Amino acid sequence: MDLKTSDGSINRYLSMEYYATSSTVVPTYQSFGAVYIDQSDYFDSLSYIYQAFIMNNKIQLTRVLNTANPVVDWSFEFSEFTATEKTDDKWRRKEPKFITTDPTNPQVFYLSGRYQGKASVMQFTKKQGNMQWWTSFNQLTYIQSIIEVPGSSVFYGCGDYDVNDAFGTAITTTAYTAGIFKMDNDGSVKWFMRISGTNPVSSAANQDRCFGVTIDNEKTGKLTALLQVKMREVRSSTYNPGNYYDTVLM
Amino acid sequence: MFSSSQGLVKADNYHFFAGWAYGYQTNLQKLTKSSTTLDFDAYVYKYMFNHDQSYSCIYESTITANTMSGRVTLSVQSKIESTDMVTYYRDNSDLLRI
Repeated sequence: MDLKTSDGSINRYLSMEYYATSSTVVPTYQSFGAVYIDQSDYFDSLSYIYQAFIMNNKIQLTRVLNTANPVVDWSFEFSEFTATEKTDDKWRRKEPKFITTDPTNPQVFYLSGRYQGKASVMQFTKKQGNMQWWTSFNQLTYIQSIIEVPGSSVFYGCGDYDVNDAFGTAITTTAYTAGIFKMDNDGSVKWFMRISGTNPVSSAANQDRCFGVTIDNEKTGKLTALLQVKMREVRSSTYNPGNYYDTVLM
Repeated sequence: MFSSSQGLVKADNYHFFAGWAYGYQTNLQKLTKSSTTLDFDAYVYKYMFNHDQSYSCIYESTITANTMSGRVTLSVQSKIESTDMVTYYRDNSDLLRI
């Protein structure tokens, strides 16, 4: 939905549907929030909607002309890594989560989330959807937050690393370490911070995750992170040493 | 408490963070819920670092930088690249798609 910020009224409602949908062909869809409306394209000044979602377990990345009669300008379906993957193969796991932009380059956008089982950030051209680069994190599984920095080519993100990445393991019991990173618009990772503690309950898995990062601007040099952790090292002795999460602002 | 993705923003000197929880307790309020039959509510907190303690609402404790730094491993770009912490793909054809 394209909403009018002043009063919340709906400017436009866009629903994407597989072209061959019928009573017997009904794809399954999943969306994670990867959407961006560009009100005025750098090249033709038109408005476009960029979005990524999953249809039948494959990532779809599309650019749609944002008019009363929307037109798909370009669209891609990401192929699976190999043809021999098992249903539970981690290479199948994906999560197109965020679409962000580069304040210093109006010709590109970023798609970030999880692809081929790993946290990933990709840069694409707006005009044709060409991939410029793709950075895949080998010690990060999910990206939970990503932020642009006003007027800067660098950006920050954070997430967590599912250490064992066992398919079907309950998210409440699997082991996690948190990760925070800084990237530049050439795809390079400037630094990576791994955060890990020990669960106050020794028999339970260590579970440290990161869900948010925020910054005023690059010049202040101060980044705040929202951590969700189970660390006996940082929990005050005032509180019960149980197997529950603490919220930490760092 | 559970945090939500992209669950932190900063406006002026305030941090706002959001998530969900089954019950909560502050200095001013308390809501108790069953820990076995989970019934979650969403929350949003407004927080300022170094605030006047007379305005304290939530239970909080400060973690020293030394304590936290012992739980952190920081890798700079040269180490990230020399130890394969990331894999870079630079060509449009590296991404298989139709």
